[in-house]
Amino acid sequence: MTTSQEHPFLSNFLKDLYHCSDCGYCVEAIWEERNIDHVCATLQSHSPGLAYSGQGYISTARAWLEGENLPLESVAEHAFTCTSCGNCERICPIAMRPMAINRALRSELISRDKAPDSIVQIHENVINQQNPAGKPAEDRYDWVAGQDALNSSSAAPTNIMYLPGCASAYSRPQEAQATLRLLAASGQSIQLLADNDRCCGAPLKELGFKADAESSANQLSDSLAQYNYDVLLTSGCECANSLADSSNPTSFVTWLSAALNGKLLSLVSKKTTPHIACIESCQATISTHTQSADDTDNQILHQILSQLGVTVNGGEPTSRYALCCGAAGGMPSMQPASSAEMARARINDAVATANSADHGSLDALVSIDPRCVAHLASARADSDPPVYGLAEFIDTFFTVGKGDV
Amino acid sequence: MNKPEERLGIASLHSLDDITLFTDPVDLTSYRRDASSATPGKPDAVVRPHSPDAVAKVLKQANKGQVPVYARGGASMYAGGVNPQAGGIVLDMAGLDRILDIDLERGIVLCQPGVRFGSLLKALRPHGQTVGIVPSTAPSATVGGAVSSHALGTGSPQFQSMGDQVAGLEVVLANGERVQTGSAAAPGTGHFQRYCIGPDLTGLFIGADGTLGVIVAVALWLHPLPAARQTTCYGFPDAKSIEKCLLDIQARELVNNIWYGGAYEAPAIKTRISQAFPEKSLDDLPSFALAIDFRGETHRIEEDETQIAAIAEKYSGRHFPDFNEAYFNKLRTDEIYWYSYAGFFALSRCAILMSSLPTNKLSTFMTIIAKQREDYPEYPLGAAIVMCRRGLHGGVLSFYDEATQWEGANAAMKQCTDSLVKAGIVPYKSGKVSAEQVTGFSAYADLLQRLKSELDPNGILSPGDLGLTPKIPDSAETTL
Ligand SMILES: Cc1cc2nc3c(=O)[nH]c(=O)nc-3n(C[C@H](O)[C@H](O)[C@H](O)COP(=O)(O)OP(=O)(O)OC[C@H]3O[C@@H](n4cnc5c(N)ncnc54)[C@H](O)[C@@H]3O)c2cc1C
Ligand code: SF4
Ligand code: SF4
Repeated sequence: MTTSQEHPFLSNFLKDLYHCSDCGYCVEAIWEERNIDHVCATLQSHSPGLAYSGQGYISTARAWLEGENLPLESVAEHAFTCTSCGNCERICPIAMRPMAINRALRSELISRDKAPDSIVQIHENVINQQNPAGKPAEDRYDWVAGQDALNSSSAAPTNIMYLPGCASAYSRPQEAQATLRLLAASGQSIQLLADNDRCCGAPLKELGFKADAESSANQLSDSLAQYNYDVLLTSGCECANSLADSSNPTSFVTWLSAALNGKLLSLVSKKTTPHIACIESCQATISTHTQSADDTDNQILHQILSQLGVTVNGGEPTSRYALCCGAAGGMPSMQPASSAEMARARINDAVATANSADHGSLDALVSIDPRCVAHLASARADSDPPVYGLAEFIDTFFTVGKGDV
Repeated sequence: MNKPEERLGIASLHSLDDITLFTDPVDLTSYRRDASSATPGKPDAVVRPHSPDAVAKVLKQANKGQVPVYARGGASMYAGGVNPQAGGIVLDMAGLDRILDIDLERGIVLCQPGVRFGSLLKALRPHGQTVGIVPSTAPSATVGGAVSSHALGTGSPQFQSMGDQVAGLEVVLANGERVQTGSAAAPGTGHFQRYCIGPDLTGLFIGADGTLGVIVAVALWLHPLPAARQTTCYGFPDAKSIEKCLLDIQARELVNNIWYGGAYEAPAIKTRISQAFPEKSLDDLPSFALAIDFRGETHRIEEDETQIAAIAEKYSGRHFPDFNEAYFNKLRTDEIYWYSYAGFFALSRCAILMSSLPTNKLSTFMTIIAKQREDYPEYPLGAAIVMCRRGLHGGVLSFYDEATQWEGANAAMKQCTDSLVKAGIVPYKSGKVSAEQVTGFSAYADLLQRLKSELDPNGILSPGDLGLTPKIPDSAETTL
């Protein structure tokens, strides 16, 4: 077998590699009582080859550790074709960590200069421009232009630091703008990091650039530490997860739930009963920043919507095993066709489920993670309902007023 | 001739749309084994057919080139049946995953072998129907794998085993011929009766681990979803009393409303009770618990429960509500399937041996387990006793670390299997792990080998399983 010097990342996972029972739950599981309907989006939309599954990454990692001469280009093609959705870990009955093992595989490949070019490019983008898409760093807050929400009163009861995250800032500015309007309507005072903002490191963490991911997260946390605020609010689910240990962030959906329950906001629907389908975000299912696995952001979303009288998914419950829409894990760069196929599959599923309940045509497709929203919107066909982030949806379908505080 | 598909003579399969072919070494690493502790194999190619025709084409080509073929479903079996120890092709049957017909009038569901039980149950629920036997790996196990490996467990008190629930099959033989069994053998008739026309050919392929043919369609009997359910546990002072109680229940056929019945021994009882009720004393716990999951009409359950309680009492059994509350009810109503034992106990890989025993050998089985624990204290051993309509199944689970204990765990399991066989307890799921024992049943093994030679003269189907000797040499690669 290998030494820890030869495989410093994988050798942290020997317990998992040698205790996995090969039960196959992380490959495929259909389990109605637990609302599980397939597990791995990569197997569904990219290839049915098991080497692209959690169990497959364990087999590959073991073979490599045990000295097999595997072609590393192929190992890289497989390892970097995983959405990092985490379903394989969530479903494992004996608490193995196949997604983390795949990240370690990625780190091993990176340390041998075997990461595919498209992945290296994402890394360079984050290092050079502080965002994975490589958009100019100085354009990060272009979306704020013309927003007067920032002029809210300094005497407001709560001071919120709003961190839009790279996806809202660059790819889905509508979500950041709508969030700002809702925050302002709730009477909170709002701060932005502006020039001190940067990627939280989540995309690098997914891709296995472990040290740079930590360094990005630390730099952002250090910047945040310079400010006084009561609540750190972020739109990106993966940002909330990435900052969970250092900065105690609150996701937008959690804030909204608290704002509605605390009567800081009043929302009156412009339409009798909006009928929407939610496309749950796998990153929200991971929700390391929430306390309990039964209380994920996806579930809070469903609670909010039912509280607002919105018909969601024709009454179907939320899944604790959301299949990735293809936006995560470097998928759009690494496997653009499969990534688009995943988004189409999620849209088609959502529309079919909602339509089967016969509540009339869908008004919107809603997701809480701006990275998913941007990706789903790019795969949307003209005949599909419009895709919104949660803040955009509220802003579009409700008259927003200050609550009775 | 460097490419594996050329060496295997299956390069032409690349051009077919109803087949996905994998030959990349990284792809192949994931198809070496199942959940067992049996030695893994190294396939030269993985073929994922999407239609029965595609299966026939692959087998024809493989037969011509004498290339081993191992059918694989969910690979959740613990007998090594899918491990391609002779190399060759792994036939990934999970691509044949359609439910073909739900015929409520005939009471039959016809499905392809790659359908997962989870999908099947979900599809049947709106019709108020279910199937008789459901393995505890239901979310991922396939119907074809369950038929080929004799599934049992949930449903066994009522329905015995998977084989008893099969109304007929469609099978592709080694030469690519397609055969229907049961009533469907008569063209245009379809599945409605298994035992007709002549001898039962369906049974040849049940529990055969893919050695005699590859199943491409399975007809299963439907059963109505039960109206009510209830779990009950009884505590017993020793193995002999629970054994007598079970014999009595079976003799009176008080099993028609029992969906699952299991016996649990002292260590398991102690663990559950101490976890759930840390304040309770463990001194007076029973040595065995009989746990029953009733399903059926409410009044029938009540009647049976009353009679079973009286029988239990006759053999010193008492209601044991703490065990029901601490463990069994939650286990059964939350449908947590195999989380039940392996997951909670050891968070580990485990070597599993499933055996079949007459009910009056329950205490013998427990004595062998006790001896095994003494001899191999380094492998924590779990015993799972599952009630059937007649007889019992005794599972032995040994938890081990594969990096350091693999050989030892296998040696321990072999000793256990040998002791069980000597005591008249037989391996139930043989695959490769009990192949040696099967070979020892000489008259049976000879006949099986003759049937094998007739149906699969080149020995391409699952060489090594059930101890059937392949005619192909040890390493497929050397001849290809
Ligand atoms: C923790 C744990 C708990 C389990 N609990 C149970 C239980 O409660 N009850 C139970 O019965 N089993 C149990 N099993 C064993 C196993 O999960 C089941 O028997 C399951 O039904 C096997 O299905 P599979 O699709 O995984 O089969 P596989 O493992 O893929 O295959 C099993 C055998 O069938 C052959 N095969 C597969 N498909 C075909 C086909 N189409 N044609 C011909 N041959 C084929 C294979 O070659 C192999 O020999 C358990 C396993 C584990 C690890
Ligand atoms: S993280 Fe998601 S996409 Fe990756 S292997 Fe696990 S289930 Fe599949
Ligand atoms: S990682 Fe967990 S779920 Fe996946 S095969 Fe191993 S034990 Fe099963």
